[in-house]
Amino acid sequence: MAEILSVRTVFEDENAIDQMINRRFYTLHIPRSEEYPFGRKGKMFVQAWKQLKGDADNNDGMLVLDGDVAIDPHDYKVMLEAIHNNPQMVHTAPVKIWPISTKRPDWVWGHATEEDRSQVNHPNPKYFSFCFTYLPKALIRKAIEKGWKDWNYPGADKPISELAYDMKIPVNVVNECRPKHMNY
Amino acid sequence: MKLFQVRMTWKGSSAPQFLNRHFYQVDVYPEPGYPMGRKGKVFADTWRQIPDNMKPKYDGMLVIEGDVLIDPHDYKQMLKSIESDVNAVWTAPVKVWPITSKFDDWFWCHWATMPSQTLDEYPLRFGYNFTYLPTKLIELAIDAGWENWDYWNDDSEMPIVAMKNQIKVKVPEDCYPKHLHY
Repeated sequence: MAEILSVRTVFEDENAIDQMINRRFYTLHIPRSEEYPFGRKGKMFVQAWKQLKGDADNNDGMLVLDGDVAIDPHDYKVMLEAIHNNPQMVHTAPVKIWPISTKRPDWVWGHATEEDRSQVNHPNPKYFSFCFTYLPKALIRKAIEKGWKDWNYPGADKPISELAYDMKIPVNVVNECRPKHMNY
Repeated sequence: MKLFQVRMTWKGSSAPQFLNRHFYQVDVYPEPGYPMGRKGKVFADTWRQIPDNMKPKYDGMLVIEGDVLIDPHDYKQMLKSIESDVNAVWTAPVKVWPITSKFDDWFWCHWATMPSQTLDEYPLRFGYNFTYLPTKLIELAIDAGWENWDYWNDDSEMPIVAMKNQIKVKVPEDCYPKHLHY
């Protein structure tokens, strides 16, 4: 069985979803500051990884749940099953990203083969969002080495996808997971 | 197509979501003699409160329960489905969790013969979670005593009225609300 850190990110002042399953995750509060009004998501992840001893031998990676994403016990179960089957891969749940974030006319999937995202559910994407996603330890270590702590909004998530691609770490879409992204 | 849209919340159990503003909110409160509230009466009274001269304008009532999350795509898919047949019941697939059912695992809230984890395309049974009820069914239900259907049987009587009156129950495509009562 894979051992994982489960972390839920909540931006300061955000209306995070109140759901029972949150208690399975460490809550990572992302504060805003004058210099970083949208917070330092990258830095907070790196610090959480260090503080929670993510590098320990018995840990395989980190499961991330964004505060505005609702999941249920079935989503959680199938995600854990996917991780246990292959803890060296990225596992991402299909999540809709809404026009309020993208400024596009309609929603697009958070995972995509090309940078131009669409409503096509690609099975082997290059890009993925963090919404409900597992990152393996090798990817996290490399990201920290490459300066993850300085990857902030609006470019906080994309470099991780590119790094996984460069490292030839496959990205699995856990299609039986159906999280609900409430930032619309 | 014109819908009367109602969001039903039990006192103390309600998930905030932006789409709630599209729905009238009706609350079910515990009462002496009815500690689980009188859901049937609240629904029947809600429909009765619509003035008679306005009722014919509505094709039916779209219900969402307070512990069910939907997104704009779910909402759009539901409206599109209703538009295609305003005389049918349209019920979105929603998981019922063991905390409610006392079963070992979840099952879909709509089914044809037995509750299961298989999606039945033509169900006979359904819950209210995110469901459209056509006007004809609402009026038949009121005649059949909707106001007296309370916990435990508040949801189970409506499908029986639909069955008796040959009102079809359909499932919208690509509409998957999230039921947070687990």
